[in-house]
Amino acid sequence: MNIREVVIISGKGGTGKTTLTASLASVAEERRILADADVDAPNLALLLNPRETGRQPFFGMPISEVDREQCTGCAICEKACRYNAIHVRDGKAVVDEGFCEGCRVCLHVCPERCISLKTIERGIIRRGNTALGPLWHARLYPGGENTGLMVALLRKEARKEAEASGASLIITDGPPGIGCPVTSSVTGGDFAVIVSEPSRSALSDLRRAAGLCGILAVPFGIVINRWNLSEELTETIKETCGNEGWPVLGTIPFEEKIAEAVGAGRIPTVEMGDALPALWHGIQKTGRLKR
Amino acid sequence: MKIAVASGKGGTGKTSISASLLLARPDTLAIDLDVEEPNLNILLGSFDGCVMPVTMPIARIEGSKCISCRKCAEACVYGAIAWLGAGVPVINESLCRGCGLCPRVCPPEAIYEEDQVVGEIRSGICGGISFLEGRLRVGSVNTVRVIEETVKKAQSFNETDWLMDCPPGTACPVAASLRHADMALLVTEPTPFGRSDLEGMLEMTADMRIPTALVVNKTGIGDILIDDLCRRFNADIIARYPFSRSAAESGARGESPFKTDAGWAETTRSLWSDIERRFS
Repeated sequence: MNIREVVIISGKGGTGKTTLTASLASVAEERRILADADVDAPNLALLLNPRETGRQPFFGMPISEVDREQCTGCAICEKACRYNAIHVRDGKAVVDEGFCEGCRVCLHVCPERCISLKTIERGIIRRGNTALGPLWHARLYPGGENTGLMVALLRKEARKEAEASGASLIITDGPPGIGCPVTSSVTGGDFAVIVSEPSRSALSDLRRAAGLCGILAVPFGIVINRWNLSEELTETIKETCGNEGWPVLGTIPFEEKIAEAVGAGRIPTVEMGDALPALWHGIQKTGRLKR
Repeated sequence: MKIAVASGKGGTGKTSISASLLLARPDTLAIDLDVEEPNLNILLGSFDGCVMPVTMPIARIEGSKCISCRKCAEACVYGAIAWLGAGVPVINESLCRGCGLCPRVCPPEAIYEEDQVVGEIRSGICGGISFLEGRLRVGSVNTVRVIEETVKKAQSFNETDWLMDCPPGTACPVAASLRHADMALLVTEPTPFGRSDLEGMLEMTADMRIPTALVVNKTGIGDILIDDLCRRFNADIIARYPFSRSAAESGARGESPFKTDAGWAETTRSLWSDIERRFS
């Protein structure tokens, strides 16, 4: 079975990734699995209202823990830690759990051998059924490390289910930015949709997101959302795409009724009108999603 | 006072409100810590200054010294050192996190570290304001490293008043930014997504014990209430910016609405007095 995975990203936050992911899922006809890879600000479930069928805790890398009884406060660990994650306070080393990456340098250098490893729960991964198909989503506990690892696990679950159930399409709502969680969302995907909007900030971020897709060798195309908020900047984005050879997959207008539907927790399939099926067609064609 | 402007959800207007606050008080040090997508410069004006690389040590093996004991490959928790059954282990640079463990465990000291550029810091003046920006190199995943180096640079300036434009989300890059703040100003919008991400953000500032106040941006685009969150986390809404198409358009062009919209500018000035009354 040939499963195709399309990942929706944006660079800049707030350009409409989640709304578009749900809307595209509502016009896709294939058997599909949905995944929300924006694990530290997950919102897809707010539009899809899943009935929960399962949940599992997420454990990141084991991290360091100091035995306070044994610690002499020598600060050798503090000097060795490259992540600024262990500090001597009041004569004892204290691990900052939000920064420890579990590299074990401190264990290695501690003369008292008083540092060990512990596993902590960093978040929760959930599965639910929705009208548009099964949804895999997750929540990283605030301040947490290991977003990339969590995204990788989430995508693996979605793929496993697609293989088992015969679904041919996975639609993944990605995180903003170009860092760890985005890299983990896009790597190995079949096609990335970059959602932009007519602003100078979004154009700058689009360039960086496109650069990342290039480095990861994942083909991509661009959607210009709310194009009518500035026709001039929409033209600039289209020109940039033309010059760079990036395909423009479609455009979606800004309309109050779209915002109102999302505000009421509804997927704006009807409100987006003909632009939506046209966009999905563009994605299928450019992304070679159809077998 | 060191103020962090954060939001949880992206696109709520962190950068617009950061730029407005800075334009109203140009003696504040501007720090763009949204290093994956730094956009504060676009709203402040033209940048004049210098660019410095941010580097991270990456492990390398000197093949002639290696005794093929494979201790390095066994020690690396990131799976960045592959033992191929014999010979010299191979380091996968994109997985190396520069922790410095492998040089310490290598008996013949065959492993050394070489600095690799993971981003850059721009330091200078932007739109007449003292300005620092961290910028992650495309393809690097070392967001936190670039944030920390940018903050270190800021600390060397000995300025008392900072405004940090933080990354979106609630994961480690945000924690890395917030831990240098005296107060957090959380920008939200009255939509279901805005509310949901604000809740995660409030949990985070509460955990980190950072005094927090809220700004609701784009009022009028939704009617979602957050009063219960304000009570639960003891954080007040201290400013409301109404959604205006003209403000959105000027921001899109790269012009701060502080310069183009009188109502927006007035809200920003009263936001400053509220911040000072409550937090200084």
